[in-house]
Amino acid sequence: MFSKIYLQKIYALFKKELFSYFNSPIAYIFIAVFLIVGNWLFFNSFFVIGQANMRNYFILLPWIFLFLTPAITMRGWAEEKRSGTIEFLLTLPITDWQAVLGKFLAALAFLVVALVLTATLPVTVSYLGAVDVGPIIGSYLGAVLMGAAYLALGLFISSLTKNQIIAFIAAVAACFLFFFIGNDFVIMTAPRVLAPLLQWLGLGAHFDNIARGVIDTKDIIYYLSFIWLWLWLNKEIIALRR
Amino acid sequence: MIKVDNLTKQISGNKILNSISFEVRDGEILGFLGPNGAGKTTTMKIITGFWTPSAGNVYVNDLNVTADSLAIRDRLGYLPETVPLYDDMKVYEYLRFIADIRNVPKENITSRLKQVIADCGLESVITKPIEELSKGYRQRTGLAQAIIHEPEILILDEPTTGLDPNQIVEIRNLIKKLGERKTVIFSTHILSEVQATCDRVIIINKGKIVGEGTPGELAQRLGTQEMIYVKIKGPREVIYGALRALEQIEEILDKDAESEEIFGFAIRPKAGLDIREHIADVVRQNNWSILELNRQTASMEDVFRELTK
Repeated sequence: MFSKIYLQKIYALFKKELFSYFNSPIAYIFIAVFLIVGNWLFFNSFFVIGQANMRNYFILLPWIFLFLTPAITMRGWAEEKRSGTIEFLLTLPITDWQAVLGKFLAALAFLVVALVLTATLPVTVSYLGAVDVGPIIGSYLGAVLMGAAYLALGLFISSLTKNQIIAFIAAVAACFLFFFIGNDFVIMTAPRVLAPLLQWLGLGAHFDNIARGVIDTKDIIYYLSFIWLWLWLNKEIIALRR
Repeated sequence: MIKVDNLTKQISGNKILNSISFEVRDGEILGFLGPNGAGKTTTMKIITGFWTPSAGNVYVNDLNVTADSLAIRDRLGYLPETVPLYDDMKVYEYLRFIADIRNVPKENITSRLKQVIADCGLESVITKPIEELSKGYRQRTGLAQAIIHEPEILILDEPTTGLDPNQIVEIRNLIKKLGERKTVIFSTHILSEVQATCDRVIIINKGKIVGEGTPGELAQRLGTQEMIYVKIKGPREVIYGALRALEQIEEILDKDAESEEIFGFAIRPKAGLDIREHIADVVRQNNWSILELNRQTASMEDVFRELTK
């Protein structure tokens, strides 16, 4: 299945999609806003707390992602549907899976670029004091996984509508829901039977584990299955056109 | 060869295609004619694999559109009706993307790009973003992406809609040129286009095929005969009587009256007879004058209207 040609086609689409992101001024605006807001919120409390770690940044990150990732994926399918290019894309000799993967990987690459640009933070922090590198690397890994999960969900939602704005708002709501149900507050107030389930389903709890520097295969499997599920549903939605 | 076999498409209870069958031979330019909403676009969407048939099938050289859709798409070039292109890309980047995703071998990409850019006359716009192109150049870019991988078959959905008369002629010539080496199916509701471009025509209406053949054959099958239109200066009743008396004439219809003494008649001769001389004789004998005389054969327009009533 994963022959060279199969991957080449995904790559061709990936390249085109990634190019589309960076071809539009919106991409730069979003990256700028992401960096400014992240840096500001972090350094706001950093000097008050006076500890050389990035714990606070990675507590903020899921909330920033809540708005950043839907902005990345909102165009994904909605714009293809609105402009009719979807008809053209899906009559190319590529499978629906290839189309979904090409788009997803491009969105992920965009997110990774945005994350790489935050590398000034750990560099600054390490300049100001001795840092523990493990949790920072773990947090970045967790951030990529959680971002990828948000992106898969957002891309799926984008395939349901022709309207980018609807795709954005619905994706923010859906990401929030999945983040929120794993929140301590929800778990404490939820019926006892549901609590473990919610904790397991919630995106946030798994992120916290990884962010502490604990890389548990359970968390990684959770993220990978979450991503796979939404990509698979995305593919099914695309196939429904027929 | 393309073989459409009892193809049916139903969308939410509506039969958009009702068991249509036809064949397209290799190297043929087939005109797909029909009023808006007849099912032309639907048929094309199924052949190109965007939609699947509700019943029936389409075969392209023994490949079957439900099972081997990808292999068929490899052999097809498709230009959808609305010419959806990625507006944010430049023409060159866009064509390059298509060449990549269609797996044009690396070593051929540059030469293929040059070739299609020349074929479609895109030299002056290759560095422009697609959103800035005029309708004509957009259409040409659409055609260029459809032929970049040298497909055996071209499917063009109303490729000349919205173009000005000069652009229409250019695109038509391009299609004709491409049709020398490829099988082409193109849909249109412009009748003169079919006469100018196609080897064969299929007329479709309300999801059914209502006519098939060369433009000439279609006219014949319809049984429309030649009509003679003649405009004569003289007294109407007398002219009518004199013409009526000609035994070669089947039917005379009053067409128009230009003035009190100039009248036009449409005359249907008995099958196969040339009556122009007889008409001239009658007029001369009576000292009237002929102001106009011409033969009218059934046009595609008549055929179309008759078949899609």
